[in-house]
Amino acid sequence: MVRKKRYSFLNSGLALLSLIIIAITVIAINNMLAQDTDEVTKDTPDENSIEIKLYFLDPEGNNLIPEKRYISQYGNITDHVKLALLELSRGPQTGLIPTVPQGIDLREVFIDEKQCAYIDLGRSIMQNHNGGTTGELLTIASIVNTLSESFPKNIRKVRILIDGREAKTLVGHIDISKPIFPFK
Amino acid sequence: MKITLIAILLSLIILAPFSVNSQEMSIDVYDADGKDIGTFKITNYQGTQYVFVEEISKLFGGTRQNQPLLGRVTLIMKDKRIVISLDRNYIKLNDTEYKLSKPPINISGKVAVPIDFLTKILTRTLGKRIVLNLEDGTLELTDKPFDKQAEFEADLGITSKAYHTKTRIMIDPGHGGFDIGAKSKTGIIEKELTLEVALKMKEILEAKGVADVFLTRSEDRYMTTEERVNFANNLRGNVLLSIHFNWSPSQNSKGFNIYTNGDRIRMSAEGITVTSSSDMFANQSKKLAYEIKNRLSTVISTGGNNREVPLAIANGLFMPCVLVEILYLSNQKDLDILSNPNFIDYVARALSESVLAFSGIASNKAD
Repeated sequence: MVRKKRYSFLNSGLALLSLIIIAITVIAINNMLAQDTDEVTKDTPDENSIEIKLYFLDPEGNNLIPEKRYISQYGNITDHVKLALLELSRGPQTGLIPTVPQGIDLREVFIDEKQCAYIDLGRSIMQNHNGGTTGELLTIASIVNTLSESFPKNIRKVRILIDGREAKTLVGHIDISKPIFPFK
Repeated sequence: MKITLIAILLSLIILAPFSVNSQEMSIDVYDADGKDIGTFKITNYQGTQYVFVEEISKLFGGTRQNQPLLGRVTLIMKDKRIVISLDRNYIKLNDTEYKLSKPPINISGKVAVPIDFLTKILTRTLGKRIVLNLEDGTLELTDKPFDKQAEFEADLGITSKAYHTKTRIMIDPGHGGFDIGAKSKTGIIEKELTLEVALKMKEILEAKGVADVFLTRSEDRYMTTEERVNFANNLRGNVLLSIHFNWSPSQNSKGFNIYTNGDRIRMSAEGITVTSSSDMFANQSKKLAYEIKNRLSTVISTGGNNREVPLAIANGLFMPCVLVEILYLSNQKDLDILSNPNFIDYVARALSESVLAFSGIASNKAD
């Protein structure tokens, strides 16, 4: 009897200990993750951040409106561009409407000496897009305006590639076979 | 902190006069196929924009003879002889003289000409049309002549009227096959509506017997935009109407939209008139857009804005073309309009009459 009691006491002690350990790990991981995302984008600037402008649609559906975000200045320009595009696809934080399908498959980004940013997207953007000339224009304009307004010194125009190749159109209306300049 | 600020301010004050004098912008040059063939600089000097003769000559394959004693430069380009004299407003191209907005000048030992040289002399030398866009910093060369279809057809040695007595109308129902286009929450699919409108239009137009009507697709199948363009070009269409139903991420967008092809609005620089589009059919397409707006607005009360955007269907197409987005499948009011059983019929009738009016064929409204 006594032995049994000791066992159960030990057992419950072990369980408690493992619970505490799990809890600590969860909190620690959470903190790490929180720090991670903190490093990617911030809502408030500090001396290590760059301001970017993400373009989303106003609720009336008339205009593209910039939403300010701050990204870490570490890394090179293509890192910053990738970050801006991923943030754009993650959607707005205010009452604006997203214009780019969520979770775009961003394959690669490069910028040539003519300040043209080549954005290589996976085929999934065609499949995840809801279509419409308006919808297609808004997606393209959001991407081009976000990049040219966030990185005015580096990007003047944008060329969208699909699966690493030149594409004629995203969803059938707008010609993307040439570099696209910002829409005003 | 204060010292750095003062230092920055001081350096700005010192550098300011230099930066004013060296206002330069770089222009990218593209040939007719969209291939990048190089860059040149535009320099702003005392309120006028200049290009350097040396750069232009290198870029477009000319040879240059400097004659400093005579104060002139002779360019040989494409077997043509261009004589540029310093401080003289006129430039000689073979035996003809063309007036520039300002005389050529000497900037730091290099001969520079005002930028209207490009649209007055260079375009004639190369035999190509030049579309200069200072806002974007691009110059495009195109083989297409100015906005005259007849001139273009004469170049090709064809006249569509000689081949075909009736106007040939191309109707392009958007999407098809696995490309379903837009979809409403209620499950209405764009590719089916576009085909319905197109088939109805064909029926209406053929009943009038005044035009030949061709559909890029008459059944539910996938087509790339190139296939649609090739189809219409091969049949020597006189006009193409692409039919679509719209979608917007905002549920508030409603009504119809009309799109014509245009790269973007181009600004005109000092002394130069720059055309608004490199699409030679731009003006005719706008005329069709106008006819559609007038008639479709009697069926659909909201919308009707004509927007110029780079249209995929106009890329390589040799005829005027308009893309019409009839209603938003993302808007409830538009879906209500669509539920009227006569709606497709009304739209097809309005569009058919628009195309006939555009083609100069009076439509009989009493039929």
